[in-house]
Amino acid sequence: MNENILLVDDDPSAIQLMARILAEVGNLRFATNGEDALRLTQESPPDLILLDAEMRGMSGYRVLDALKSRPEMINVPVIIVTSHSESAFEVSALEAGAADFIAKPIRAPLMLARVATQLRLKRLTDQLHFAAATDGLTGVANRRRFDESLEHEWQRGRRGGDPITLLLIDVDHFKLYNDRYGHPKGDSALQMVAKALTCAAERTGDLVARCGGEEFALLLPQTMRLGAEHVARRVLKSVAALNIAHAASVTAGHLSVSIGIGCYDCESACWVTDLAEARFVGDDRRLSCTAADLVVAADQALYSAKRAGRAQFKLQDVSHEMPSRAGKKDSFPNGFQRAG
Amino acid sequence: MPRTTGVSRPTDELASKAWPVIDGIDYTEARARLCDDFGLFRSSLKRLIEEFADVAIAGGAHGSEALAAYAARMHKLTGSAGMLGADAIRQLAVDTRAACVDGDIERARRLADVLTVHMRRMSLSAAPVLRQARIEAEQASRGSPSCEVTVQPRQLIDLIQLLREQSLLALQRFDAIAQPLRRHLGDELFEITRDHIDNLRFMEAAKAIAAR
Repeated sequence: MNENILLVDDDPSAIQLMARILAEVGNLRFATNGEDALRLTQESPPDLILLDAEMRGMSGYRVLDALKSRPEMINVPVIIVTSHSESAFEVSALEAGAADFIAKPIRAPLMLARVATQLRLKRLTDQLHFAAATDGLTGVANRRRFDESLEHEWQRGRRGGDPITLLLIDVDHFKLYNDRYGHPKGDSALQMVAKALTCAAERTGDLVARCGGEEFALLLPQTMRLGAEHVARRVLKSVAALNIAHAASVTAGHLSVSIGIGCYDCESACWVTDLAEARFVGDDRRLSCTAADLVVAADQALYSAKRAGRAQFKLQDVSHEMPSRAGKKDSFPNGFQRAG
Repeated sequence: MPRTTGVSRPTDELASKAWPVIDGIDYTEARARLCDDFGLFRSSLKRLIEEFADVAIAGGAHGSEALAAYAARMHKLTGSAGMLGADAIRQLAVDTRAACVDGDIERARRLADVLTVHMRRMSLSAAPVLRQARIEAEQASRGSPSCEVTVQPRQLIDLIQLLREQSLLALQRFDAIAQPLRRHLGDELFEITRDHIDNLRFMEAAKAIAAR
């Protein structure tokens, strides 16, 4: 009974009846008006909403509109509950984005069946979303999710005048490791590295992703260079602490990683404190920096770290003069591949 | 008397009791619709009678806005009456609303007058049932005079948290500590808090408990 259900109705008796019927189905919260319903969904998105269509003040339809305009609520099913029995009303509820429709007076078996169906569909949808965004081997985010998060966080940072840094992490001499120890051991090593990265990324907003075979990314929103360097040191330490023997490595006797940090903060040449002002004065050079430039910076830094002997990190600022940005569609320029 | 509304099951005692005959209510239908929950029936009936005690259309209510507001009220009555098996009242509410939507103020007024009569009759017939509910609720929260259990700070914090989250688990928690909570809050504040909780005004209930 882990599912959270939000009951929205301006009639307390109707809420109490629904609560009575659904007592064994999930954790139940309620709202008696639209504004409260929106506030509660922001605090903690439910798995299902039962929404009265006609409430005083903000109607159920307006609540539904507001909910469906929020990305995190798009997949949350909403069942409209109403005394209107006309089929046109039912059609308009479904067209407005409702998943189902229950007419009042409520019939307990019908409500239970419909709620169970929507919760089952929600569970399946969640599983699909999770699978589509997760790397099957390591359980961290996959390349698709990384690309989405990078773009989202970059835009958010630019709008809010917040720094953002990206760590690209490459397992040193991984081909040699696979050749020597075999692919099952290689897979197990990648899983351990992913775990170490997840531990190193302490904040909830940080994102660990596997972007290719032995390549990982760590996206750190609202993080300046000092913070990113601190995380990079922690990553190096955590991976070394795994103490995975790598006899074929010319860098160390154990598995190690190299890290490139792409940095966009107030010391960066293309830093924009106030996006609106930069647009107003037409500062095109600084405005033209993109999320892809951050990846290019991180990739160049990674290349430097490898050239300097691996098992270390290097940092590179984002610049509007990034050499490999022209015409690049793929955000990973140096051989990062799409991971499943 | 334990609460049977919300998230708990009705007690065997209440479920097996014969439901009282109340003018205008088909109690067989009500039992089926309310999952045999007599406590929920009483609290819903009380709320309906209080909220729709006056359903007459005011003399000056001619404008489209006033009619729309009245139609919305009738829509609400349709739902509440339907839930309680008050079928005649439910049908009258449906017809009155339709008259409002059609802009037929004279018809709406005539229907509202009939509705007023039905509501009064039901209210009078339900009075003893509601009076008994009040007595039972008060007795239950008073408990035995020899019972000296005090409410624990942790219990209060948990209850306030559930109330702020608008979690319906708060109904059970409130019932579980009703007796010591009454002693803690005093009769007057306890009754105010209980009224807030019965009517799902959880934020106000949390404030009342926290204030003490």
